[in-house]
Amino acid sequence: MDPSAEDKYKEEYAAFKEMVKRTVYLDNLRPQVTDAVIRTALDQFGKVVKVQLVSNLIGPENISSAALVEMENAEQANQIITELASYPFMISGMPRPVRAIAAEMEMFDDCPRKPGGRIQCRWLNKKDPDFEVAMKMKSAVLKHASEATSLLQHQLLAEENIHKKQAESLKANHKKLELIERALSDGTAKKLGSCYNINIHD
Amino acid sequence: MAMVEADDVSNLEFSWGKKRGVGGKKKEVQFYESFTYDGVDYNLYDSVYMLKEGEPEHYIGKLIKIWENGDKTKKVKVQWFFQPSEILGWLGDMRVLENEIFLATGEGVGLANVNPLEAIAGKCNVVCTSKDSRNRQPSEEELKLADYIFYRTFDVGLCTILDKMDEKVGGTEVRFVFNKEESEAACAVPGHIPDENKEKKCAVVCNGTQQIPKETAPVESKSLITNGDNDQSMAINDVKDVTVKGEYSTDLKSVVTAVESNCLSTTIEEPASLLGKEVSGSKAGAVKDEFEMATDTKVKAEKRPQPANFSSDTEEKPAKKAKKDDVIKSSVDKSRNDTQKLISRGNDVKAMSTAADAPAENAKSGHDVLIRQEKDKPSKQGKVDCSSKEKTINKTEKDNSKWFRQTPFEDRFKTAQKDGTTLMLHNLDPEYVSGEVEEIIWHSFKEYCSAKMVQGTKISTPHSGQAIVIFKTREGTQKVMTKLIEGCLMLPNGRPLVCSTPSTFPGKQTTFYGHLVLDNKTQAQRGKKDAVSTSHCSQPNTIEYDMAMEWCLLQARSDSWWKGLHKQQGEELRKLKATLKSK
Repeated sequence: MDPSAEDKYKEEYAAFKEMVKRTVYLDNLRPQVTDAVIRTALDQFGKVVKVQLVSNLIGPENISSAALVEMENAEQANQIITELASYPFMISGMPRPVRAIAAEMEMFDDCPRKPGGRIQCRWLNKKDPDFEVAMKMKSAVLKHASEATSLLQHQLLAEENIHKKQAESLKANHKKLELIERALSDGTAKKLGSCYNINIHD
Repeated sequence: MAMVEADDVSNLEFSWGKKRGVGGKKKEVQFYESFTYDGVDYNLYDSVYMLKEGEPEHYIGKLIKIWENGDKTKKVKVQWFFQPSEILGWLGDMRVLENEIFLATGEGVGLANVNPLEAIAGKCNVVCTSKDSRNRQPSEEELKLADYIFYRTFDVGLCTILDKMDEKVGGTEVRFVFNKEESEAACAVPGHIPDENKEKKCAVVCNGTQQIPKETAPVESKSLITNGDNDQSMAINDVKDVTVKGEYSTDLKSVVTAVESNCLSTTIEEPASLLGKEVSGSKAGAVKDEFEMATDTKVKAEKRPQPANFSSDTEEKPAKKAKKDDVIKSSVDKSRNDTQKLISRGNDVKAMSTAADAPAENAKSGHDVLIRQEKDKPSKQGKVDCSSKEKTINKTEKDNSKWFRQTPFEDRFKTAQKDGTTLMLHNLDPEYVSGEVEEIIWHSFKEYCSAKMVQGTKISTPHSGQAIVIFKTREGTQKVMTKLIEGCLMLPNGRPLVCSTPSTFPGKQTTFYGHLVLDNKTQAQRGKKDAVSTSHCSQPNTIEYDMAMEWCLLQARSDSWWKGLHKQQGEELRKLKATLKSK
C-alpha cells in the first residue's frame, strides 16, 4: 500500500473512531420504528446528528431492532447511556424499555479498513500438521454459531413469556378498572354507599 | 361544419364537432374541439370515464386533446384523475371525502395518456370545489348532482398531494381545470342526437363565449349521460379490440403484440405512430410535452390561429418519422411504461410509484434504461414480474417513507438466496470490512462476489466475525463452498475460514415482544390515543414501571447468558489455537 493511501486510511480510521465515540447503540427497539421517532425521542439529550437503523439480515424474525445514533459530542452520548441505564425509557410503545450502550466499530456497516497491511491468507496442505487442528477449529466455530442461535431462541422464548404474562395482567387490571368506572358512572357505587352509610367521592 | 364519419367497425354513432386545426407533415391530422359519440356530446376539457378491459372500475380522465389521424383513427389525450384508493400510500392520514378524486399534475408516467376515442365509456360529472378565487364555486344542486368532486392535485413525479394550483396543472391551463362558467355549462347540455344544425348552433355559442376565460369540468345534468351506459361498455370493448389491432403497422404490431402477450393486454394503449413524439418528449424530460400543451392552450386563447397549431404539430411529425429501429425500441419502452402504468392503476400503490419512477429514469438516461428494459423483457412472465422487478430497481431511489425499509443489499440477498448463490462466512476477524472479505474471496478463488459483514450487535460473538457473500453464479458458489469445506483456508491469526449456507432471510417482522396496547375504545375514552407514539421515561409509581422492571430483569439475565456463552466459546477456541504449530 503506498504511503499516501496509507495516510488517508489512517485519517479515515481515526475520524471514524472519533465518530464511534459519539455514537450510541440503541436496541430493544420496535421493528417499525423510524428515523424521525428516534430523533424526537433523543432530542432531549442533545443534538442528534445521524440515525442509522441496523438491518436484520440473518437473525430470526422476532428479535428487536437496533439503531446507531450519532450525537454531536461524546458527552451527550454518555449521558444517554447513563440516563437510560437508571430510568426505563420507552420509545413508541410500552412497557419494554430501550437500552443504550456505547457503540463499537464492528457495529457499523460502513466501517473503514483498519490501516496497516494486507490480509494474507494461505491454503493448508492436507499433510500439514495444522490441518487437523484447523478442521477442528472449523467445526468448533460452526458449533458455536448454532449454540448462539439456540441461545437466541431461548431468549426470545423468555421474552415471549414475559410479554404474554404482562398482557394478561394488564387485561385483568384493565377489567377491574373498567368495572370500577362503570360502577361509579351509573350510580351503583353511590347507591351502595348510601346503603352502608359511606360517602363515595369521585 | 360537422363531419359524419362512416365507421364500419363501430356500431355506435359518431360525428365530429368543431374543428380546431390541422397537423402532421401532410396536414392529415385534424384536431377537434368537440365530438358526439353514441349520442353524447363531448368537448375539450370534459371529464370522461375510460373503461379498462377486464376491470370493473372506470378510470376518470380529462380530455385535453382530440384528433383524427390520416388513417381515420380517432384519438384522445386524457389527463388522469386519481381515486383515493390509487394513492393510499401518499395520503397518509389525510382526510378524503367520499367522492373525492385528485387531478394529476407534475411530470411523468401517470399524468396523461393517448387512447383511442372509442375507449371513452361516458361523460363524468366532476365538479371542482377548490376555494381558489379563480374557481367558480359550485351551487348546492351542482354538488348534489356531481359524480365526483376534486380540489386537490396529485403530483405524479413527486408523489405528493397539493392543494394549491398554479398557472398550469400538469400542462393544462388552470382555467380549464376549474368549473366552467354558467353560460358554457348551458352550451354543454345539448340534445343527444348529433343533429347537424344543433351542433352548429352549439359550436357557435361556444365560439361566442370563448372570450370569457373558458373553465372546464363542465357542470352537466345527469341526463347527459346516456342510459344503458353499462350495456354499451361491452360493445365498446369489442370496438376497442378491433380498432386497436387495426391501427398498428405490421412490423411495429408484431413487437407490440409480443409485449402485450408478456404483460397485461389492455385496450388502452399507446399508438405506435405517435410513439416517436412521446419518447422524444420523455427524453427531453417532458419539456416538449409541456411546450406542446403550452402552445395548444395559448392557441385556444387566441382563437386558434392556424400557424401556431401547425407548428406544434410539426413537432410531432419529425419525431414520428424517426428511425424505424428507434421507434421499435421506444415502442417497447413506451408500451411497457404504459402497461406498467395500467397495471399499477388497477392495483396497489407500490407498483404505481415504480411506474412513476421508471420514466423519470428514462428521461435521465434514455439509452441505458432502454437496454435494461429490453434485457428484462424476456425474463418477464406477466403482470406480477413486471411490477416487482421495477420495484426493486426503483424503490432504492425513492424510498423516503420508512414504512418499508429495504436496502439494495437486502434485495440482492433475497433474490440470491432463491438462486442459491449465497454463502455465509464465519470466523473472520470481527474488524474486517466487507471490501476486505471480497478481496479474500477474489485472491483465493478468483471469484467475484459482493460481501457484507454482518453488523455486530450486543449479542454477537466477539470471537468470530460473520459475513454474507453473494456470488454471481451458482457454480461459483458451489465451488467455493466445497473448497472451503474440504480444504483449509487460513486467515492470519490462525483462523480457518468457515462457510455455511445462510438461513432464510427474515421476512417483515410482525411480532415484537414487549409492547402492549390497550384496546382502542378505552383509550379513546381516556383521551390517551397518542400515548403510544410519544417517548418517555416511566415513573416509579405506575404499572408500566413495574412491567419495565421485569423487562430490565430479563435483559440483565440474558446479558449474563450471552456473556457466559461467549466466554466458554472463547476458551474452546483458545485451546485449539494453542495446538497450532504455525500461526
